Amino acid sequence: MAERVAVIGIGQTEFMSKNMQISQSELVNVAVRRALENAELTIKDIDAVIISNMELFEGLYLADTVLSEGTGSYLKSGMKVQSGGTSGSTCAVTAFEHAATGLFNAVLAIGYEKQDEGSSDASLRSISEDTFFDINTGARGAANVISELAQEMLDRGSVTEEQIAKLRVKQSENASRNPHAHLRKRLTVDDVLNSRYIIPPLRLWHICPTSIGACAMIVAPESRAKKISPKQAWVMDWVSIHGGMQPLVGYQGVALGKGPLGPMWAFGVENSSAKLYKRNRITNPRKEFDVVEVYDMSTWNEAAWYECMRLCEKNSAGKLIDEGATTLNGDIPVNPSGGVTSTNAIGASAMLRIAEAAIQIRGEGGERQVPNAKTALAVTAGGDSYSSAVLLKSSLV
Amino acid sequence: MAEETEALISTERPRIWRYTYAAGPVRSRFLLELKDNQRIMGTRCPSCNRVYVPAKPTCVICFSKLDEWVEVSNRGTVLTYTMIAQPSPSHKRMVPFIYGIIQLDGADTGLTHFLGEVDHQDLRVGMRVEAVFQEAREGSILDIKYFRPFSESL
Amino acid sequence: MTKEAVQPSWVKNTDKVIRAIEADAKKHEAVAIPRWAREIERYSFDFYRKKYAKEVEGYRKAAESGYLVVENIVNLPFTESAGMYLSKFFHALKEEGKILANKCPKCKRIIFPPRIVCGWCKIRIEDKEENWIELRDTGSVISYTLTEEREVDRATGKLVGDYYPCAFIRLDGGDEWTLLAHFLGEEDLDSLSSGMRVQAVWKPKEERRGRMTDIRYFRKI
Repeated sequence: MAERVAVIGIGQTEFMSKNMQISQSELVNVAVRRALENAELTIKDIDAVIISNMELFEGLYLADTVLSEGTGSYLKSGMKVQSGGTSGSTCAVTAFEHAATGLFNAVLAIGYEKQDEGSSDASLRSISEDTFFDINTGARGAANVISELAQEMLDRGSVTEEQIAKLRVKQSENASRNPHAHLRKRLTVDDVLNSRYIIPPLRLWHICPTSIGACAMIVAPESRAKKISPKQAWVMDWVSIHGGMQPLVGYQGVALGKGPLGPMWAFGVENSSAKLYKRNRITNPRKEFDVVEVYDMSTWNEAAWYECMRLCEKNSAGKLIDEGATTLNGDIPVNPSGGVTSTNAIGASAMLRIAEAAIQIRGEGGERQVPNAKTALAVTAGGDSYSSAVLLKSSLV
Repeated sequence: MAEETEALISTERPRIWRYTYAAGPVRSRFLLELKDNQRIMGTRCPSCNRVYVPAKPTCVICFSKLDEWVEVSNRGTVLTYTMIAQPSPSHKRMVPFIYGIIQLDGADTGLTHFLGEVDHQDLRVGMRVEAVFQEAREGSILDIKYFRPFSESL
Repeated sequence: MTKEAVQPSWVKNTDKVIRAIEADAKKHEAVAIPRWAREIERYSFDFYRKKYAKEVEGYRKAAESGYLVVENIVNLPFTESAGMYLSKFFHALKEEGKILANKCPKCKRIIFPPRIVCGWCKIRIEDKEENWIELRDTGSVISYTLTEEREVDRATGKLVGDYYPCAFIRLDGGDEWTLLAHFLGEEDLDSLSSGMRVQAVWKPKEERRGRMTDIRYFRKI
């Protein structure tokens, strides 16, 4: 019989674009030590270590064993988990599932990224593209696809450029209050509207940076959680789904673009959040959640997710932005951490969404704390339409 | 022709990536000691009383931070050895070459490195070897050219 | 008293062993490391050393303050096979200048590029004449983009890369799921529009290799 699961410790490093003075194991070690301190545990109390890593990004074949000096996983259970952009959340979900069995006292989940040591860009393009089609036609990866999503949203009348600029400013406000975020400068609407185009209508300030850093979370089952740690954030439910349009449409290049099922990755987020709402009898997400964390690879994606997650009606993401409903003081704060547009350490990004939701529930948000956060939702998305949705509450009742 | 089967198409794609791993403060010091001072250093865990060579920043067994540096000898004992004859693009030396796992005097771990100036017939588990450094060193584990046997009496 | 260590028998026969392995390796060399990969290997190390000379110089300077960076160039030759149906598709592209697709006998959807299993019905599409259809090489543009922003090379700080317009094209003869990602001949974004008609420009037969690039690009008609 499955036990309920609590997050009892969270640790993260500061995120930056490059640091060649620290090695991968030492970087992970910083996050692990901070998580242990936060949970008031020692490494001896941890029974399993789950780590998320994409081999080609850091050039490490067996990250779970090679980094054992930094993760403390010597002779413990655990494995390496990877699922593209959502690796961090899949890793967290794997840790939840380990804890739910009741067979482990405490499980440590780690997501990290050190892409200054390799070329994540080149690896992505040389491996993830379909050998026979995309590589020859030069489909260039995420930026193309996001610009198509943006164009489609503009056509539909869902948002305007000014509203997207306002949204980006909101993200920068939140990030400036988060000591761990990468891009912390407070922007103005003019800064965003005047930044140059990458692929119209996508501008430079809309897209996420490439960051390095690590994040660690410790989870425990109900029977041990209250005994071993003073504060818990209860993980009530989680849904993880593979999207993957490949069997239906021709090849991966098309799955990333626009097909009869709608723009990219919306498919995954719609399905995972719908399933979570149905299982937990949530009918009005805007009212029933106190804080939401989404995986916004660009500002346009955040607006798209508002509609996919049914925080607003279709084609009215712009209205939600104009009302200021998703700022820290609004009625449905989204991404108090600043989101992925402020910090994108690929291996850690998805886990940071769940970690930030847990931080808000435990009241450790500092300057970016949403007052009285009792129910939180974290939804992640990545290629190829993979998505995870996690529901957290501050108490079991 | 009806009988002829079409050849299956395959595409050949080289995948070439370049990685630059940051050594970090502890491993950098280990490699710089090899380069500048021709000595092999390890870090010592006070609770387990183990000396790690190459140096590690954290003890694998008890998770304590290691900041005690000790110098280990250039000489050690061969724990095991083998020979590689199959060529591969990842090898750093021309085949055939012999390498062994060597426990240096003062260390509690084995160091994998080439064995040189030795004939196949004379290889023994337990033989004593000493490090031979390169003339031009650049701060990598290959600053040690190889380990060669020596006689205790000399 | 230490016991005399026992030597394995292969050590005595090392010469024989080496010769046997070398002979074996030569036999398999063509498969293990194809000729094109051996040449690339030699060129890739020089290429990367020159390309990243400035970055490496930076690391050498950083080493003076005690922080080393270790470089590793990974060179893996991969050979991927297209499979039965895609091979037939590429042969048709190369030999006859035709674009083939499959039709599922059960749900009648058009599967492009051709696949052995229909993703909806989960049944096997047999290699029979009636299951193969030919698509026209004209079509309509569904969505397009022009990557006008080139990338900044992290090592040199210079802008690198080409910009080329590409689009998703629905080929005539296909259904709503038929989409081909390919280049366009137009560079002026203003002259492009969703729904515009395009036609394939093929390479001459002797230049075609059985790849998607046997079509040079699609031009506006």
